[in-house]
Amino acid sequence: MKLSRAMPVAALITRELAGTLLLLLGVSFVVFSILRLSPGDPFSAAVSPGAKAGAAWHSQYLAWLLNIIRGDFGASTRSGRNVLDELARVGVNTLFLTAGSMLVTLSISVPIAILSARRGPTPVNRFLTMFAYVISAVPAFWMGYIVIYIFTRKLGLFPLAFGFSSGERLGWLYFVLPIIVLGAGNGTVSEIARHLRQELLRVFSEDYIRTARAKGASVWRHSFKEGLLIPVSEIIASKIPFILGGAVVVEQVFNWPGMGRLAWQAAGDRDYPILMGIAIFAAAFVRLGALAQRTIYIMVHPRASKERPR
Amino acid sequence: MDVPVIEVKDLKTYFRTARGIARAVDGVSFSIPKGGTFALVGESGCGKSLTALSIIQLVPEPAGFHAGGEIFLNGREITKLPEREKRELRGNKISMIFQEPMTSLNPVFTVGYQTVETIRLHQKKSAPEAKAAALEMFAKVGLPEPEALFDEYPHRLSGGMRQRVMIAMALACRPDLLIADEPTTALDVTIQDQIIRLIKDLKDSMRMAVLLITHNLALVYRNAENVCVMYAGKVAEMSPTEELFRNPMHPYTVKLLRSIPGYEKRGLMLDTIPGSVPPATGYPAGCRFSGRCPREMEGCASIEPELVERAPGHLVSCHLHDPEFMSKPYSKPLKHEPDKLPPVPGPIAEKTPLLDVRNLKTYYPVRKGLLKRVRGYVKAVDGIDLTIAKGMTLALVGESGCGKTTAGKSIIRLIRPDDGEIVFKGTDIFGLSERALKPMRSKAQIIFQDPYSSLNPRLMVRDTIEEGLKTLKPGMGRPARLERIAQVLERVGLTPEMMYRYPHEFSGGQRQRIGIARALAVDPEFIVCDEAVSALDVSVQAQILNLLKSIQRDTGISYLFITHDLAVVEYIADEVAVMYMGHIVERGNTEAIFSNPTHDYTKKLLNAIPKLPPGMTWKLPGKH
Repeated sequence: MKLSRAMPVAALITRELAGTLLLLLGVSFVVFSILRLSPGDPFSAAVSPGAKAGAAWHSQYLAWLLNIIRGDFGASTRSGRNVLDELARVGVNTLFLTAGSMLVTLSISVPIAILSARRGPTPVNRFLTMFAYVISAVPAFWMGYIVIYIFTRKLGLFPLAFGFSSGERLGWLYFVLPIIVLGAGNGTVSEIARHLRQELLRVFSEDYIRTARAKGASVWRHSFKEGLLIPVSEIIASKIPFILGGAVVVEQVFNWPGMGRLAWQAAGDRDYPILMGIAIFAAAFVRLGALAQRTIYIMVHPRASKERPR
Repeated sequence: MDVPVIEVKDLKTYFRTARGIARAVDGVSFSIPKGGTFALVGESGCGKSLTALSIIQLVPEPAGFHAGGEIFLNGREITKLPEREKRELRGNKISMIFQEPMTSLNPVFTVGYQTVETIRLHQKKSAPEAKAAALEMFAKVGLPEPEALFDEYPHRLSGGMRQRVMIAMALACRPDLLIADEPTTALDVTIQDQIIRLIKDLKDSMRMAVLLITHNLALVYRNAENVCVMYAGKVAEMSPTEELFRNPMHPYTVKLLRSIPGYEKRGLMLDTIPGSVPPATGYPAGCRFSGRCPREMEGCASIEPELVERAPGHLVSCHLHDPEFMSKPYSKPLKHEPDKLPPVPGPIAEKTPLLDVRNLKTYYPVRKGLLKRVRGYVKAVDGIDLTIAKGMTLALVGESGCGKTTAGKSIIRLIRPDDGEIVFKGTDIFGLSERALKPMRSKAQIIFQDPYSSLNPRLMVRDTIEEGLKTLKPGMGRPARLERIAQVLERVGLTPEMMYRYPHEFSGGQRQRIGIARALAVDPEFIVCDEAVSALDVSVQAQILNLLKSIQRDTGISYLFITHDLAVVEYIADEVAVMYMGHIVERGNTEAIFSNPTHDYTKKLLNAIPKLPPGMTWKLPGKH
């Protein structure tokens, strides 16, 4: 007798995906409303040339939405280029920056959390915790300028240009620096370390960890999923918006041609098609992070498929 | 004679705390032979569980540490082994099962995986071999359909089944010693009985030694060959079981035994132990029981007694049995506690009807699907009839999930029942609105099980009690309210000044007294006691039962006692209703039901409780 699951994992994930689509629809409407309500009806002028100026709002929205579904986000008012192309060009850079900096954040905070959860408040752990607090307190833009000052002005290691293509000997360093600055300076290192440590301590004090120890098993194997995997996935999902926000600043400081800098410029130029495209992509990105986190949770936790004990 | 499986010699386990060194286990020695069962008993905080954790080398570090003594497993000293070798012993030579089967299994692994893991950690077996061994163990512990259960996660199993999995896991490597720390306390009586029998059968077939830790003395009497009574980190008394129950020598043991409720003690006050176990950071210099002892002598607080064999195999640590001490002038008694238990004072109320419940039904809707539509009902209470007379106690008994708590809450309308009649003092309150219910709210109160979580930690005792008075006795002015609070606190054995303290400053028993004071403050005629004494130590439980009983005699109050503890029922209830799956299957006079149960379920329930033989009475040692 194999007991059937009340709701299979795949069905749950499908349900989450459907929720994501509904949410994106809502975001598109909010973005539309904001622009539509801006003075001067820029919407009719720029975004949706197909819809007549002064037409009823719902027909404008519908026309715009249909265009989006077809993949047509309109053209940038500044460069005249297709919005989707522009976004694709800079999106990769931003993805690289955010994913990389998340990795940096985690590689600082996870070891600190594990060490202090396992060993208690030893002098080394106190120092590490202090270190995490200090780098979290430093704002990213300030840290960015300091780094540029040291590496460019004092050491003269590389010019203020982006990427490998510059041909400089230490060009790769310029590629890595913004990632490290955003990863360390986004203000979340100490928060994540503290949260993870608490989760680990909570799991270590669970009865089933006592059972694991009593049977001579590894405490790590029994605490990894619950104490590390789930909290880390939660953190990644919940910090994505902050890191996107941080990317706007760091991309400015480092002249990094990413979505944040594009958004900054577009806001200055009132380039509405670009802004709307970015808003929708950012929302989708954040939501996808949450979706990934839910998926991990459902896969790890047999109980997430809401069923009764028999 | 063989080498004992486990031999503990002068074991000391201490803790570093903010208040200094806590001597939690302070010089304990005993041994268990192959195939033997040894029981450790005592109040909570006496060091029973820590003794067990010390044996399996799992004392919580770094606060706790091994402060002295030796532990021999089959003649080999194990306290100084390196951690790697200790890990090889755990789960292999020494196994342990715990009190909480609901949380002791890892929720993210299947029960099969967790059992196989234990086997493969300690034995060189391939995965299929280990699986076969695990399935064999599952069958041995009586799990139905081992193959199907193998891939299940713990949350799909009931508490009894999880405890069976725990036992299967613990015994998978055929350990020499099984430590069972309150293995049945969290389970229903019928399941308790099954689990205890299972441990016993497996012990006999595998020839292992069992260290049983429990506060249930009847369980000890039925299952252990030897008992050790621990008090404040030390052995107070140790003896073969039969000898200890027939001839207890330590006043503490006698007090413990006399505080167990039971049929023979009906109408009498239960014996209680005043005060609480001293903190492990500050024991008295002399006998650790001094200050609470009913036979204390002048020298007891300053001279420490030694554990000496006073009868064959019977060791006791008490000056009363030391002829040399008793010949000295400091053996002058300080107290003269009478040996006989006094009857509960006050007259028994006349039988006038108070509450009449007819055909009460409470259903919980089961919602499913995207729109959360009602797809069915859980019939928690499915048509029950009850009557309670003034000044009487009705016990509602049954296993967890039978609907007894829902019934209790429905009767006082904390939950809205779906059908029936609840006639309370002549009025049917079934359909009354909240506003119309208000006069009745002060007349019917409830006390909950958990004295730790049922008080708001941010409210002073005064505020907790005053809250009810403000709403239910609106005519009362503030000075009158404060006077009333002081009065009820005194009634439950606390002092009026305690109203300015917060819940965390009280012990479990004191908190339950606060709960009772809160209920009493509004002058009720009826109290629902929902497992009100189940979470308490036996000596504290006795205090609370005495209190409830004497309040009843004073005020003519009626109780609905919801419990699964049949010893308590026997002692306190006038009538019993046995509940099973939402129905009352049998009800009647307590004596009639206990001596002559008619329903099969009642018989099963009564057979499952471990009992001491009738006619056992205990006298305090020494002359007086």
